[in-house]
Amino acid sequence: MTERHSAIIVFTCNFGWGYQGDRESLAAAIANWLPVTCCGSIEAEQILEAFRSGADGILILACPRGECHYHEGDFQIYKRVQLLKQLLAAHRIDPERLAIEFGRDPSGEAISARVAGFARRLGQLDAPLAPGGDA
Amino acid sequence: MSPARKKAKIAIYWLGACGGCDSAIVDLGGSLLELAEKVEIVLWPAVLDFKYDRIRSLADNELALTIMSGCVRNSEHREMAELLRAKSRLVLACGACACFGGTPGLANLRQKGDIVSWVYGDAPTVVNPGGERPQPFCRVNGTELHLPRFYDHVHALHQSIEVDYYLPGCPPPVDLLLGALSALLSGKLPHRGSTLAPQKPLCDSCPRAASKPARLEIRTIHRCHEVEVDPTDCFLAKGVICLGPATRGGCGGTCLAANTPCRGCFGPVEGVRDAGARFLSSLAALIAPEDDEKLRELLEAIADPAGYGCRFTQPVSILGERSCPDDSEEE
Repeated sequence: MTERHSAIIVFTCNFGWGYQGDRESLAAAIANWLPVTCCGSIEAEQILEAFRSGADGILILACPRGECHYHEGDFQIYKRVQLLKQLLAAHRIDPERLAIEFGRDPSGEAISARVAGFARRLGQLDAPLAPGGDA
Repeated sequence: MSPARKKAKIAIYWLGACGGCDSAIVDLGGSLLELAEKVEIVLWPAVLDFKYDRIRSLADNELALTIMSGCVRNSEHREMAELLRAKSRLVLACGACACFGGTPGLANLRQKGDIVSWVYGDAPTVVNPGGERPQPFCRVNGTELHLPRFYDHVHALHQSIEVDYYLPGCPPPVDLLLGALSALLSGKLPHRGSTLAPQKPLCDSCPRAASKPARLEIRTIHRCHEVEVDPTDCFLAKGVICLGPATRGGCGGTCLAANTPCRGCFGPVEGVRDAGARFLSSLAALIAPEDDEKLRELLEAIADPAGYGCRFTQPVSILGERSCPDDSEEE
């Protein structure tokens, strides 16, 4: 089982990640796993609320660029993430805490490794501030 | 009892405000004079000289209405907001600062210490060789002088006291202001907590909407001073960032009439939790270039996306919202 990273939220697209895997096993192995029908449907407010609630980081695993089942969900979430990173930075939240990766993994076996890699990168960042708080 | 004593009492007060909302009330003109015939104004610091002791001497709920503008930035703002709340049957948050924190809320993107250092030391126009800083109290000629406590954060009014109604705008337009006062003073009260403005986005009533293409795409970005947009053209279609799609309408389009894009002073449309987040999402959706390099160039050309998103609403945003500190506790 993957090491639990309770403060990392993981969004994955159902069309690209884990759709052939055993959902229960994956859910047991991946803390705070939120499969979505298309990453293009992830609202900015969901991302910000997660940080507000104390998430250390948010990892979005989207379909390969240009291969969205809904035509352009990958492109839409990519642009949304780029602008949200600047909003996070303005609030003194390291923009590296919001990451989007593109790829495909039908079994879902690679998700845990992606989360672990993201956790390692987060571990090298400065400690996050309390939401809205001063240093 | 004389007729004058039967008049409803109202107060008009500013907290952390520029006075623009008071000017808007003055702009009611003849309607203000008619209003003054019907009500007794017991407090209006921007216009008339009254003493706070008179307010303290009123019974609780004696005021029919207090119109409060401005944000809550220090302990004096909070003290006056609480006093007037206790004395008022209705409180109207008037203007963007009272409703959302307003432009002063952009200060929340900086730490208080940095702001103080800049204002009292580092700014190029400041001469302060002794490094003097404002202190909460000091003694001058044997008298102890106190300053209000400066909070770490800019707050919207409802984060300090209970607010009954909201009227956004920077400042609120005269027609909505008059409509709000008429409704609140006649007892025809809308649902408590309502925003007394239309629910739909500004784009729905924008006179430039006819020039908006069916599929809006942004391929270049211009700041509004860099390009002259035809007065009938949709700003976004010309690559000038306009917050009309994500901002509540009702302002009357005064900025648009001055060939200036919407800046978002009416806040989010009904039901939207975070105006800035929703605006950035809508802006992202319009960005057209799919080539990575062109996309990066365009994103970099958007000067201060967070500033666009937070200009009037940071203190009520998901990342910016904080409750007002308890003055009995140290921050």
